[in-house]
Amino acid sequence: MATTYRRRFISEPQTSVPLEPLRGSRLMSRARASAVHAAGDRVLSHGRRILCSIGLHGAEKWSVLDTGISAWSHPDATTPRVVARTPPIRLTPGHFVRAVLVANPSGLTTQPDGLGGYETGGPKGVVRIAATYDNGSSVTVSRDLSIAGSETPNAAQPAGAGAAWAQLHRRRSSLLLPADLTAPANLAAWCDGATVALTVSYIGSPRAVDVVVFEEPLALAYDLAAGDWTVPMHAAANGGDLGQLAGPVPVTRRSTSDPGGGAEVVCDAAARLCQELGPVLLFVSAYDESNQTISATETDAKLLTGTSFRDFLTTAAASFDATKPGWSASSGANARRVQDSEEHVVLRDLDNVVPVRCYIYASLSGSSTGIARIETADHSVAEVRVTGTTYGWFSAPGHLRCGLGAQDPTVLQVKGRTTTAGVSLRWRYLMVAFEDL
Amino acid sequence: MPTTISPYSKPDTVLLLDAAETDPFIDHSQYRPGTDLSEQFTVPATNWLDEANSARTALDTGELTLIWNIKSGESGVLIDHGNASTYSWRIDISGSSVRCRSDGTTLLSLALPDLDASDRTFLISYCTHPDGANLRHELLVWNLTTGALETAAATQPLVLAASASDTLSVGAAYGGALPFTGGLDFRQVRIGRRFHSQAEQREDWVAASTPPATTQVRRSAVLVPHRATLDVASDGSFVGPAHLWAGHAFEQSDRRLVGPLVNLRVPDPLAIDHEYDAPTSAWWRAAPGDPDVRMCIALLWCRPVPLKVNRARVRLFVRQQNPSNTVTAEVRWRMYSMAGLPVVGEPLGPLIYHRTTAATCSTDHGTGAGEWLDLGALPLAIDELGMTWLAVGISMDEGSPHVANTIAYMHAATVEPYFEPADDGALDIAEL
Repeated sequence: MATTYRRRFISEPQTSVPLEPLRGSRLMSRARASAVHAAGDRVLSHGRRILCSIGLHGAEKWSVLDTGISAWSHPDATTPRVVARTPPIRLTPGHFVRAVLVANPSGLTTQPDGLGGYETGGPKGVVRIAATYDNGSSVTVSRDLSIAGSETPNAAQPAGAGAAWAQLHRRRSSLLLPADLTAPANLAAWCDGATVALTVSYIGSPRAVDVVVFEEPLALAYDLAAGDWTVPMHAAANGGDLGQLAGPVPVTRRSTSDPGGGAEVVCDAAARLCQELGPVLLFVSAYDESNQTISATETDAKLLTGTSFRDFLTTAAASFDATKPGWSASSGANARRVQDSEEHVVLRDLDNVVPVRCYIYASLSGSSTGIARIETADHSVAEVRVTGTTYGWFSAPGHLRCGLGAQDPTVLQVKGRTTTAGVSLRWRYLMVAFEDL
Repeated sequence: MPTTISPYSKPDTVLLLDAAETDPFIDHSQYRPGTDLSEQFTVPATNWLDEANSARTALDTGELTLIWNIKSGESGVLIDHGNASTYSWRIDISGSSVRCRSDGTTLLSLALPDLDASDRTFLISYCTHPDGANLRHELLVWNLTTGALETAAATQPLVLAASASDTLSVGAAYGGALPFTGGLDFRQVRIGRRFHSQAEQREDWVAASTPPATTQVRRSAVLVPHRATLDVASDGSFVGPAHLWAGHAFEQSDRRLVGPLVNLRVPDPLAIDHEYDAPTSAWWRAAPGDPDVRMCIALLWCRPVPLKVNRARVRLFVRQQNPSNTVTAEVRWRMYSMAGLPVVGEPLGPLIYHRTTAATCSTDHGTGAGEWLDLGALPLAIDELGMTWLAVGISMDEGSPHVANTIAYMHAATVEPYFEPADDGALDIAEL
């Protein structure tokens, strides 16, 4: 028997069933049961999780020079230089990756002149986004976002008051899809449970003001026989709205061959949505536009040397202090779970805790153990151990306090050390993301 | 007469001893009220508590929390679940360290912070949860007398599964072996079936937080419906509760993916002066609606806005200094959200913008300090691509005699989105 699927487009919030019947003091009916199913399908339509970003980001100058070529003074035109990486993280069901680049006109590139010297390769700037999807088999897709070269002498940055604002370019990639997802079978294979690992590279001399790579909702499809749906899939086989449920009364399931349309599927979907969804709290690259060396093919690492904790970014001696610079963890409150943050008997609505996995792309300069400590309070600590002298991803779970939400500010700080004097913890990328622990 | 439930007893608590309240062997948990531990004595002068066949504490994951008075020189087993030859879990004091052990393997250990010759009260919390095929172990040791605390964590496989036929012992190992030399000098002992975060231990045993008042829409941590609990597949069962519970869960899940729009620290921040020409005047322009406020492309982001949010809370960490003096001009910081910012090659449309109120700073921080400024609520202007332009706006008090020497830096920015209901109190989904 051929496999049959149900498909649901989630790129726009949609339902033909009003939510009004969800409110209290109403008798249960087919319309109201239908409203519950439709509401479940809409939950995933709001996702725009930012997975990573890179750019000028407060720096004091461009790494690309405004002067003419002098020796190997500008990047070459072809070698990708990695500026951001993420570990493989689980995609939100039905979501795929898109990138947006904002940039000023690109600068000059360098190339050998064939006589032992160098010459200009002309202006060129590309930001390459590579996404490696994995659902058991791995697929890498990439997009190059190009920005035209500067027309000023030496392809220098725009000159004159406000000129950089007048020369802002924006490029928006198409969705990076692991396959042609038109067929429901392909969509079903990739829409739930897949991971994505991102690599952002600069090629040539882009002047990237801001690069942001984020998830965007597209569609879900499930094999009718498989079950374990993230949402109730209150949709027709072609992805359209189903309207009212079939039959005059609520049922446990539509039929023995179709788990949708009943009480069981809404219970299962609610359980998954309440436990498995959560934000990406933080992505950090050690890339520093002001100081990055153009000859390096990967972001210059930050070095934390010695056995005393040092701030991840400044490398100065550090202990947790909420009055010092840090990041925010307040969005974690959007994804609170009953077992960590229930508001009556667990944390009594005075605080929240978000379960996370903390990732660090790092290595050590010698034989030792590296310790990266992620804190949102003295009493809220996650710790990642790093071993070996080869760069790789290391991770550990944690439960970080995150306050009540955006209006309850939190400060997340990261520090690191090694267990051996003179040995450095070298890190390039850091990520803290919700995980259903 | 109302039943009094200890505030330390939670739904997952299977044993709660509270020597500060009553005899130390009395169980205050809600699990099996009236099932107290047995007092055991040997001569000379060793006493401990135990429970044979302690199925309720035969846990491979969960919480062990002890509040115990300890001074230097004391050692021995504080709590143990085992038998004459093995133990699945144990917390003991060895030297000046507390150790979490399983069948001879030390899983975690920490030095007792600020251990002293006189009694100090320590919160010792050892909690575990599954982490893939292994267990994540976390240890928190908090000297409640001095405030010093230490944490440790490790991921390890389960060493020895707990047995329901093993004995729980408090103050010694099985049969009174290896007794803690400080005696049963505890305040509380709590064993639970659920992982307790460090933050929860702090709320329970150290101090409750005082959160700010909030006006944003906040969502509940929903008790997860389960088809087995609701018995939906049985003849004669009600399907209404399943739908209503699930419907509530869907509503409460509708912002779970919302994360920060900007969450940034700057390693080498731009130096900003009142000429607004660093590194070049090309980077600067006047803010919309206020030519005295300047915006810089180094402090510009273009970010996707999740559905179901309409505002963001903005905080900046700033530093300012006057290298030739110790007084700076007042610097005013804002954040702007814009849609329709002119971009090369895109149709020119109306520029829609919102901004926060101005946060001002007049402090000369010198070189190693700075402060967080809370800029408050930023209504979000969203373009047809679902994105918003975010830019920091800066102005300096041009009337100040120190303005020419004032330099400002932005070291961190956080922009956290949320939803603020309309003034009429109408709820959210219909409005969006």
